[in-house]
Amino acid sequence: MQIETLRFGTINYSQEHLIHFRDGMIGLAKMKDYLIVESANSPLILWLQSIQDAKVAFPLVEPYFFGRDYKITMNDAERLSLGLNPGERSKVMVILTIPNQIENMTVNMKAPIVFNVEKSVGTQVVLQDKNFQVRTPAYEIFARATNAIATNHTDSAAQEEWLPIRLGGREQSAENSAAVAI
Amino acid sequence: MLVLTRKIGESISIDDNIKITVVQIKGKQVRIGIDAPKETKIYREEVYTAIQDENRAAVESMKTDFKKIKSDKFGNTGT
Repeated sequence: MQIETLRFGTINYSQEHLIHFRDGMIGLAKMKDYLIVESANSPLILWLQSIQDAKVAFPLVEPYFFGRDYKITMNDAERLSLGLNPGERSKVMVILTIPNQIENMTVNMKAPIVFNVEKSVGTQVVLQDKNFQVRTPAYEIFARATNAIATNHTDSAAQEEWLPIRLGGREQSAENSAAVAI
Repeated sequence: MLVLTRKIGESISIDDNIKITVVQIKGKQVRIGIDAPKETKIYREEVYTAIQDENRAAVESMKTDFKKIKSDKFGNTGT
């Protein structure tokens, strides 16, 4: 299968790359199917690209950059939306907002996305903890993380290649995964 | 908007499966109890609206220029 996207050009994908959101994202309830795409040239950020709308894509990052003890507690509705059973692997990502002025980048710690890795299902969760903010300044931390990793940038205008990834395809160290209470 | 007057302990039924009860009134605050099917998502309006707005802003995000961040003085460890 193939989709045209605004940011990433044409993406070839198969059924196994699709991630279903039963309830969509908050405020975008009608869009229920997404891909996660990545590029070797842009480490740290994965993009959650809508299948239904070429323009709609959320930049996602690992929450551990922004704090080590990020614990996710879901309510009944969120738990049902995710269909997560004990023993099934989950993965938590937080959403960046990257404006033209990149220094004003923020991260949404209040409403992360939780994925059910086994079922390729996702849901956006609203955390009750008042310490988590919808618009948390993120540039400083993000710039540090970017500087800390080695990138093999192909200079010049070489075409950047964006590929869909399978949720379960990445091994993840337990220490870096946010805890999800079932 | 439909507006109904209720006393403490009284409820409002919505369809067959949602019940809203006035639990307590204290000054300008009202405590409300909600019985709804488990799959119903219930959030405080202002939190929900803020997240909606932020999601709409997030999908307008620009592709990040990592080279720009790398060359930025800020956060550069100099190594």
